[in-house]
Amino acid sequence: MTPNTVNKRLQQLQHKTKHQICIEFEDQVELIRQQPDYISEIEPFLNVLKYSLHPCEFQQQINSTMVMALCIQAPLELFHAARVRIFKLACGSFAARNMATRSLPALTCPMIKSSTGMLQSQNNFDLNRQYMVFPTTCDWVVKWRELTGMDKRQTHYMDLPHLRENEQSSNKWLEELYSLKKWLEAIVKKSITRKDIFKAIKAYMDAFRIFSKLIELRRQQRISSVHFAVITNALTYDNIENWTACTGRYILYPFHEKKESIPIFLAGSPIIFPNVKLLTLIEASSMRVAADDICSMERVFPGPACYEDKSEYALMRALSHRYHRACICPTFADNERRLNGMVNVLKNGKIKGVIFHVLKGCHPYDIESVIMENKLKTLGYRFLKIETDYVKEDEQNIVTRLEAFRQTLKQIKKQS
Amino acid sequence: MVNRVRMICQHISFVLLIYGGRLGIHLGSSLPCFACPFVNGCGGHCYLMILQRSRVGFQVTFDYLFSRAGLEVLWPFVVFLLFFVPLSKLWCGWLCPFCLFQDWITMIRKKLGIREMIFSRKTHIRLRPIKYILLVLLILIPLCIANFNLHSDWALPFCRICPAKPILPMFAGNFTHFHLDFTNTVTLCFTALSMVITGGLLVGIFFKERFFCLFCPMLGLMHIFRRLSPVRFEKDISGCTGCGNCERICPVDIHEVHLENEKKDVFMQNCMGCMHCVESCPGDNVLSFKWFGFTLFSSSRNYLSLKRKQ
Repeated sequence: MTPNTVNKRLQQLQHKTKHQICIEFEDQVELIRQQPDYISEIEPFLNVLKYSLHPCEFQQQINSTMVMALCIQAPLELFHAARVRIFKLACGSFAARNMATRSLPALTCPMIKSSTGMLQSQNNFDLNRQYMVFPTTCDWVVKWRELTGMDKRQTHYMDLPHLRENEQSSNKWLEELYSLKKWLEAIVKKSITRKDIFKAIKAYMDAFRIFSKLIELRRQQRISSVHFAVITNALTYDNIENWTACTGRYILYPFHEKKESIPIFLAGSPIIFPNVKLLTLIEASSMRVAADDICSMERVFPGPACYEDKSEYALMRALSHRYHRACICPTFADNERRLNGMVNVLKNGKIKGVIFHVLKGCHPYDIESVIMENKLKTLGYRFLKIETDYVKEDEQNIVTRLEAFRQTLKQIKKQS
Repeated sequence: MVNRVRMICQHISFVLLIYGGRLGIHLGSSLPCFACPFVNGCGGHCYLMILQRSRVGFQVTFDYLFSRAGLEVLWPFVVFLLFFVPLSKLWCGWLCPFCLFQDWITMIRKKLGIREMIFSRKTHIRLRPIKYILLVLLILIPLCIANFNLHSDWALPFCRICPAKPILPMFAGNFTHFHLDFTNTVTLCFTALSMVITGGLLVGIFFKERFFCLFCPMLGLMHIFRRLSPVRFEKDISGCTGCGNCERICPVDIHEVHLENEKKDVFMQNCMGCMHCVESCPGDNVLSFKWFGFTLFSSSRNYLSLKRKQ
């Protein structure tokens, strides 16, 4: 086969995948629009998410430098302070996943596969010219650059210490934040001042305030979990001021409480749009996600960055702790307190069941599921582990399991 | 909100304890806070001065305790407990005038955007015994005067090196405590030490919030009796996610509240009840200050988001 033929075939495959990604996205959006709980206030978030599948178009429509980042450990506030736009490399497209199947190991995490496929499907998109930040969370993230054959000159690694409560680890992570700041300064050729960081923190504080209200609505089972996922997923692609304004408008809608649904807690691997299969199935089974600790959803804001004064060091320290100590990523070694937050929400929200979502190939959450199952069952909570992929073929099987889980929770409710 | 109320309380207390005497108010001489007796026209003063005057001899008999001399030692202690018991260490965070002075200096540093000096956990642990050493010395030296003929120039040893002695009288227009006393070697040593400590502490207070509180013997004394008080600082360990806000926001960097995962009681040795940690805790009811079991203030996610708006 001549190089020309290979190139032509690759272009055809790129075109086909891109087209399929668009169809997949449009189908999911259409499904949301057809739901009885659809409100037009969700549209701005869907528009933002449209670009989450096309980094080329995303780059064209923003007026600043784009930096791609894997995982939420890279502080969003620093990117905002540097006036660069972050593009979170987390893709939930099944079509994109297919594109990368040939170049990655068979049991690769679907999110990694999908993100790789999404990048490969872009025409005239030189991966080696993109700025990328990799916090060293799971093995897939650590090895991703090598897997994709990217040039390391444009990338920045953040060495994440896997101990949360250790003083040395905290200091190390703070150093990593300073190093990221320096790297960003080199990109934008401008220093990031104390005022820039403060303004960015303030912008995210405002967002956190609105986000807290959104969570309240969710606890009262007034909003759909698919909508919630759409809103939280959009955060890492949107301008924060715009996101806050749109969320502020969304929460003003007079939602009604859905008393007939059974509240559940969702934990585990991230749920990335357009793959909201599990959320849709849970809602179709007359259950409602009242809370979660998924890093792409409720934990996208682990809390506000509280600073002791407005000096650069104090602001950086606040950010460092917010993205390290307050993070509940399963890759941390001393992660016992992750359960505390969950149990607190379960108690306050009178939630009796936990559904644990594991993406096939996502090893940290798979390991975590065993630990959580044992602990939660000891405390008297019902636990259901759903191991799935981006495929749609296992939907019926999941529905059956969810139905059985709902019956169990219903019985507990009756007994109490 | 809580911080504003606290600041108002501190300012009212400052006016009352520094200028109260001029208004005819005097709360006595057994207050559990740094209200300095060297301030002309003060509205009450620190118990540590009376404690240093309790020169009880070792030959004391049971009858002595109920004699006039004995009551002169016991009665101030009873009054101290009467003041201390209802509020416990909230006296430090909410009413102590010297703490307010430190807060003013911190405010200047914050306005200038200068970073705070951060001590490691190990350093904090090493500094902790100092306040108890000072407490023991301020009791032992007067006992030595009473029993071992130590010269009376050694009287009031802590007051003579206390940084509040030269600083607080300044607010009443008295600058005379910034001096060296050449009367004899002991007085010269005390005044020289006082100047060095005051200078060092002023620098320390500028770079480290509530720097003096790390060494305050009154805080140590109050911590010993904290169980007598109905004030409790509790943590719901099952709700703490370990975000570390409490440690970072704490003026004296108490790390035990963040790390504690067994005991409910987190009223630590250096805690002065300023409630900064409760304000910054994102967990609902995870940290709470209680009085006779009644919750005075507890943490909440909503409060935190609203506070940050301000």
